[in-house]
Amino acid sequence: MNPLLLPREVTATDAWVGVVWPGAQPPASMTIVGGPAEQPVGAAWQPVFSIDPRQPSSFQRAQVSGLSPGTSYQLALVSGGQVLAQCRLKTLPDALPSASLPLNMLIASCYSELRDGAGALGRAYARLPAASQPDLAIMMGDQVYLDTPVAHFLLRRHTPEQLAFEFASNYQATWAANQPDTGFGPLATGVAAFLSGDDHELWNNAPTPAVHLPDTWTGDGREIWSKIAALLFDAYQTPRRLHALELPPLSIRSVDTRFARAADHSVFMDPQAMTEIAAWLATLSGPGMLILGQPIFVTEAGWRGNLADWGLPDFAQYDDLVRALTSVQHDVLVVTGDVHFGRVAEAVLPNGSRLVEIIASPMVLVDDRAGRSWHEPPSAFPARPVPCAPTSAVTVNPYRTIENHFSILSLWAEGQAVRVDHSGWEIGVDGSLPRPVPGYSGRLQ
Amino acid sequence: MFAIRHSGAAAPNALVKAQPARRGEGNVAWLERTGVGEGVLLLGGSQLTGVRLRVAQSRLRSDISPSHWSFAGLISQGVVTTSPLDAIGDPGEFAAHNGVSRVDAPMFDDPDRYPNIAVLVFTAQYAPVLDALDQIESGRAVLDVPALTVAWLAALWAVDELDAPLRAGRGMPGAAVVALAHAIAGLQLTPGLESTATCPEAIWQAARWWADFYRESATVALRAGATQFTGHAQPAVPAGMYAIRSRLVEPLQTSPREVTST
Repeated sequence: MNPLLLPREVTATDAWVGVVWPGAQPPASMTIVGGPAEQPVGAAWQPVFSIDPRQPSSFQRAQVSGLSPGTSYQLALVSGGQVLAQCRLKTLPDALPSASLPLNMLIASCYSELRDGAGALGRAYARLPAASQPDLAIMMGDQVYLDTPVAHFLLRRHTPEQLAFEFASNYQATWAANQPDTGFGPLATGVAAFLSGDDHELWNNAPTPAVHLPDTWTGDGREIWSKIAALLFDAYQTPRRLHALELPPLSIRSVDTRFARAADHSVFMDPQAMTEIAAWLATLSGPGMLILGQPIFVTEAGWRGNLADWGLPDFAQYDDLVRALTSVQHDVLVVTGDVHFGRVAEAVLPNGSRLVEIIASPMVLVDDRAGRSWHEPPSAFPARPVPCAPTSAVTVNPYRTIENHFSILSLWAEGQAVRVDHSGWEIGVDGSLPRPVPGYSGRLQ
Repeated sequence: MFAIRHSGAAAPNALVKAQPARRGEGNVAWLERTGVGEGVLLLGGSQLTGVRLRVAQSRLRSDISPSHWSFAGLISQGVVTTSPLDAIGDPGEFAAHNGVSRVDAPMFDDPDRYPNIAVLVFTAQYAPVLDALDQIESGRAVLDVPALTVAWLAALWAVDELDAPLRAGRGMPGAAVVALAHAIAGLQLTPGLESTATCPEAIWQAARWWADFYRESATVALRAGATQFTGHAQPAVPAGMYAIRSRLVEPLQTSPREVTST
């Protein structure tokens, strides 16, 4: 495996990159070039699992500062005059641009590297027309399926070393294959990404024990699995669980709804994060965008949750989220994934504010038995009674897809409002002919 | 979806009490005797329109008997704000006010025409609910009352199936106005519905069987304080009175679930 330079969160003037150094000790002197000045890579390496237990990899995050707003950068990891890894990113603009040059945001979830033998995702991404190429990417979870191939986990338990090997192999196959134009490669290194995880960054329906995964049947087993998976997530994806982007007049939050999930169905996100999200929603001065790991327009899974996946309404904390969302004074766009189909739905709140939900899933479907079917949202939001939250009718947009896809949101400012033009991009069999499907188009106030 | 949830309550809300009508007593006199000045007024009609509307809501009752109610409005100072299907008036004016109109309570005084009556209170502060009426009247973006009216007239005239509007998620106009005014004020009026097909029967069941839900709502609102719910009314366990003079059919005495929709 080669070293990796992974573009992560950006602001108008700063960028964070993940540096993953495989196997042996990293060189004492490395720099990141391509910014306004050479940026030394510090010595604060943390070990992370590799496919060789005798030689763990190392990772750290580096902040590149002094960048210009809305500017593309090609960064390189350099040691001894040799370029070891490269990545591209674009800083955020100071504010949402005008209609003449919209900000393009890729939104996506659910990528099974095992099922993308043809590298279709990267090929489709590379063939996006210039006007649709993203300035940044939002990934809502299941960027890896650590509990696949199922046969590896089905009938036996594993030692921590074996789990680490399996998971590290999975991450390396997804992120480190590093082909510039196929698979996950272009998304791994070609665009600044705000990432959050979902269950398959751990295991199906985590933290609930999975019937088909003996490693998750005991508390100790789940703890070992979780620790290994979380460290790899921090290294290859991000240690942040809450992202904040300000693109006036649009304000954006992306929050993890999996890693802090409680098995007793009390919370799906860290309570402090919930407090921050509720406060943010209550004080929005313009349209908001909330990125979650799972949909809000959904009914309780009920007993089915034991077999498939619990949804947000199966948790007591859903009431807090619903109350915060139904109290907003501005329109909120909720962007999410997980469910293996693309859908757009909308609820008009009693005060006239709108909640628009866009689902983008999957990039590459993990298993045909877990997809290829589209589901209507419930007719009302919330779909179960929530104290102090009014109920609103949910209407469905004609847009729907069950194909592998990602979506592009083109965003621009119209005074204090935000225009959103959404298209799903179906990847097709090998990615050579990605097909746009018009989705939501509207003005958020 | 056209269904109602069971609240799980073992007994009806004790704060919603029967106040039988006296011999020859009109509805206005009955209302005065309750001492309730502001709240939700439910009426059950005995004429064709009222009876058909009562039958249309049968599916929401566990014993599928006709509802006691065909009308919902918001009463304050003897004036009822609603959207009556049997008094549309000038169509142009109707649309200009989003179907919202105000009628004097004496219009409903005749107990032969409106044998059933209830007045229900979901908060101690009705000012935010009444204030919300202006918002509903001034635009159709959130609630399109004329569209609901068209659907219900089609059902009443047998152009469509009688329960087609509720099956399509279209509430009854007067009840929808009442529910939205409460919703704008932060009060959920139909927790038992799986859709937004608001109707008088759903409001009645909320008051009768969802006391625990409102108790929890009151607790949540108090805990949140004024920050999150500024401009909202403080929820309360529903209270009120009712008089049922006409049931259309007698309840099934043997059904253990009948009680949940009395």
